[in-house]
Amino acid sequence: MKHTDNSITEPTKTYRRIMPNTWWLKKGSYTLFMLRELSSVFVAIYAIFLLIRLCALSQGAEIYNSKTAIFNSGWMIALHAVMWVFIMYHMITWFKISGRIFGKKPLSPGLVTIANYIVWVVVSVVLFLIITKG
Amino acid sequence: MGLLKKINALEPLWWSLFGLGGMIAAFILPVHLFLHGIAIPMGWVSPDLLSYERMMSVLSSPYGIIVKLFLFSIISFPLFHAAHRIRLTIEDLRIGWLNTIMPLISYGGAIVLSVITIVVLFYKLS
Repeated sequence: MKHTDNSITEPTKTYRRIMPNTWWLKKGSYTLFMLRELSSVFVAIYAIFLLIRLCALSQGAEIYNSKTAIFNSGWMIALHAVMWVFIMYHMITWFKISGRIFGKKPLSPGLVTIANYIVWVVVSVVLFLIITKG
Repeated sequence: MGLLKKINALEPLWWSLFGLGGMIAAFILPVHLFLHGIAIPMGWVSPDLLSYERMMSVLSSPYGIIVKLFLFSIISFPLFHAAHRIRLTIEDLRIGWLNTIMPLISYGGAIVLSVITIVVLFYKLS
């Protein structure tokens, strides 16, 4: 065993539990935790997609239109639908955690979470109107 | 290894950017992704909203600077959010060799992409 090599620096031989890197599949709540962490991958992909669109925009109409055609394709819309589900899951978990962090007297965690949802609805409606009508 | 130590010493900065990016991702990205990734491509709302002509006219209008700052915020900060979270998750997954270089890859990647975003938005599209 490799651990015995450390016996000089370690005063006691500590028991080390072997932790396989599939530990998060053992329990439902661990898997949900991992899905929450995975949501950040989709957040990053969306940010990179936006950057790709802007790069194409800066390269002229022809390149921009060909990139837009890719973003309008069926599989790309399907991918965005999956990304949207993960980003909604990020939003739900984020507001739940906000409640736990900022939910101190006189506000309860539940009230903070509800306030977050109210602001979210307002922000979403305003942004929707600005982007589509502005 | 000096560089990695310096990166780890900036933990409060990475944590703050994680929080800011997480807020933006939670409040703004659901409606933004729904419109740009699903509703406009599906034709539920006017596809002309993302046409080259309209995009260029919006960005060169007097309020174009606000749109550019908005676009920078929804690209850069969510990238730092993801960088921090992915780095911590890799630590949880205990992939030893990746753990040590992950701060460099993730935060470095977010910095590089943010710089590219600034160059594209404020130099190439000006």
